[in-house]
Amino acid sequence: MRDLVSVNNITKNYGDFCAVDSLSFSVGEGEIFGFLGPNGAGKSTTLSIITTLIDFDKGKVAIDGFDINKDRLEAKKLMGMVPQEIALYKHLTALDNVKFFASLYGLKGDKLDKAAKEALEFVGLSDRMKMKPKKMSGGMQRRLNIACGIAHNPKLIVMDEPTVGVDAQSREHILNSIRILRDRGATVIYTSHYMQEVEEICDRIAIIDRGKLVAIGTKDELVSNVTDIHSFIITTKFPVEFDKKEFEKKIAYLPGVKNIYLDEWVIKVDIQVGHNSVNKILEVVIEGNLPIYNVVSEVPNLETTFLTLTGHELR
Amino acid sequence: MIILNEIKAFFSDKVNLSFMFAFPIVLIFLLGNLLSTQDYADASIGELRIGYMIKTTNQVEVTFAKEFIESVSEEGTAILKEMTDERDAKLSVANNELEGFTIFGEDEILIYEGKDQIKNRTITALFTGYSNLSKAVKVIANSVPDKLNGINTNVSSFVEEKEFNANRSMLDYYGVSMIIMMAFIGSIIGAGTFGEEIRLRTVNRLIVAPVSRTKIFFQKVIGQIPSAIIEIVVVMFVSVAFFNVHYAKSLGDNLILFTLFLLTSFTMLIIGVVIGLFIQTNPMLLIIPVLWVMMFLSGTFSKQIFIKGVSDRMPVYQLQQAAFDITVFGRTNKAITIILIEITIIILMTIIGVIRFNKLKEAR
Repeated sequence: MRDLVSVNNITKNYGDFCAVDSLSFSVGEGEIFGFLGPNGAGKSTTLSIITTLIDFDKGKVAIDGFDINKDRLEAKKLMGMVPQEIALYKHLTALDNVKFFASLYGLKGDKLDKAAKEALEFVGLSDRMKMKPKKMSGGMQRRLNIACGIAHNPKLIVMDEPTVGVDAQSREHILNSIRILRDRGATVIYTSHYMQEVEEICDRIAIIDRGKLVAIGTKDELVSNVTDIHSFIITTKFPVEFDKKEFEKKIAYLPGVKNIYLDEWVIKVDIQVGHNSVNKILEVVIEGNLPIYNVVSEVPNLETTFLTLTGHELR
Repeated sequence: MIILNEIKAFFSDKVNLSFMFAFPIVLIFLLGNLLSTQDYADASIGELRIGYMIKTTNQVEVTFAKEFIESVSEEGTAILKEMTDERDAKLSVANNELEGFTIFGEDEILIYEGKDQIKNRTITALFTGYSNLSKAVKVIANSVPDKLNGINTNVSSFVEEKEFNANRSMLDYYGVSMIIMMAFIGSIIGAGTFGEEIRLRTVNRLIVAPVSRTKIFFQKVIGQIPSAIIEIVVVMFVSVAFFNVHYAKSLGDNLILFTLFLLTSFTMLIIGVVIGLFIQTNPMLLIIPVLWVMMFLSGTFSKQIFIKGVSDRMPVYQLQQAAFDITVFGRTNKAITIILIEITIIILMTIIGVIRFNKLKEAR
């Protein structure tokens, strides 16, 4: 896969504060690239640099080989932006909003009309073309916001939290739309505060903190780089005369077991990924005549990885 | 497309429409009719008391001056009183016993003005007319003296432009002052040109599009011009058709007047645009109070409001005077000077606006 976006060693300072510090990464053509970071990590600044909204102090950014400083207009032609805020004209209808923004990319006449209608159909608003944004629900406005950023069929779509404040149905529609865009060949850079969304749709993910790249890779790569342990939790009830030490010994000898934690109600066992000792743990519990009220397997996910890497919750 | 969007945005905003069309038209009607008992349109112009002294020894000038004085007195346009002492005459002007004092000198006319602005303008117009005709008479007298017998020194032949007999009313005053008010309010619309884009964050979409920022700036500003033209045309048309407001007499003067209004409107618009680019949060909080104070002191809402040294320094006042010069006296000098100043301001503001917009950071 060739790189469509190449970010090399960019730095952006606001006075003494370094918002982006020697950041480098690349985004392959046709992938959905997730961009994660806690508040103030520099992800919005990075997206603003890529979309040419702000200038940067050092480094180089290229879109499909076009340097965004030297070949700015050429680079811009390849991009579509879906901003976090709903950026629409209240006096224009849905169709006119999409047509206006698409016209800025050189579309005219029938082509413009066709592209705008297709974009509205794509986001599920073909029956609301004549409606003005103020009469739309939050979810519909979000979808229109997306239509305005994609109508000109850009190679690269930068989406900054496109699902903020939408209902579950609209969110699902938006996520599906992003997948379809990827399948059609578009490259998507995607940020969200909803970790689950990023896990669900992104092919690769970059995590940044304090303006620096902390980790980059597929979800599995990120998780495995941070931890190879998953937890197995059984809810039970230990009788008062039960020999917990003997029980603990039996489990500790099982392959892959790293830690055991017992209290009156819970048995928690940390197991190294690749060892299937769950059945054997259950056998030991049953042999000990312990009741089993609940069984949970805690597989490490992106959220725990993010927390480990940055020390912060996403929001 | 940006230009069309601007026009659409203007005409789809009810607040814009009411501010720019309904509001001035209603004010012309209300102020022109309801306050007409407080303001006087032309009552004082017919009671001009002017002192004079003939100091020239040139026989042609003396004869012509005397005929002029006789003619004016017969017409009843002004009461001309011969003065013997120059100092007393000036004192009479200072004490409001005379509206003005004139000395017919050798190749010159000296005019000492009183305190009433309108009367001063009338006196100046009267003697400017005399002066022009007097020069022509002198040239004829010097070259072919026989022709002098045919010269008509009747005052109406050179004071026609002053419209002493025009049926003027306060509606005429407010017709002009409301259009100028409307033009100044245009700065609020101007401030919203980019302010609204910044507030709605649509400016970010414009900035990331493959269009140069300079082009965006020009298209957005040019998009405001049609509404400015339509506003002035509508208010002028409505005020003439429905309220019988008088503007200038000739088509040429009306065109200059229209140009003055249009450029004023555009100047204020571009000033507003630049203010809106620098003060992105509520620029109206700065613009509106300044505008209203300036318009109040300039006599926009009542011509009786005039504070010497303050009112006459207000741009609104100067503009109104330039417009009245055209409508009342048919004089265009002041308007043309203001038009040139406005063109300079427009160019300067455009340069500042383009530089500022090119440096504008994303709206967050």
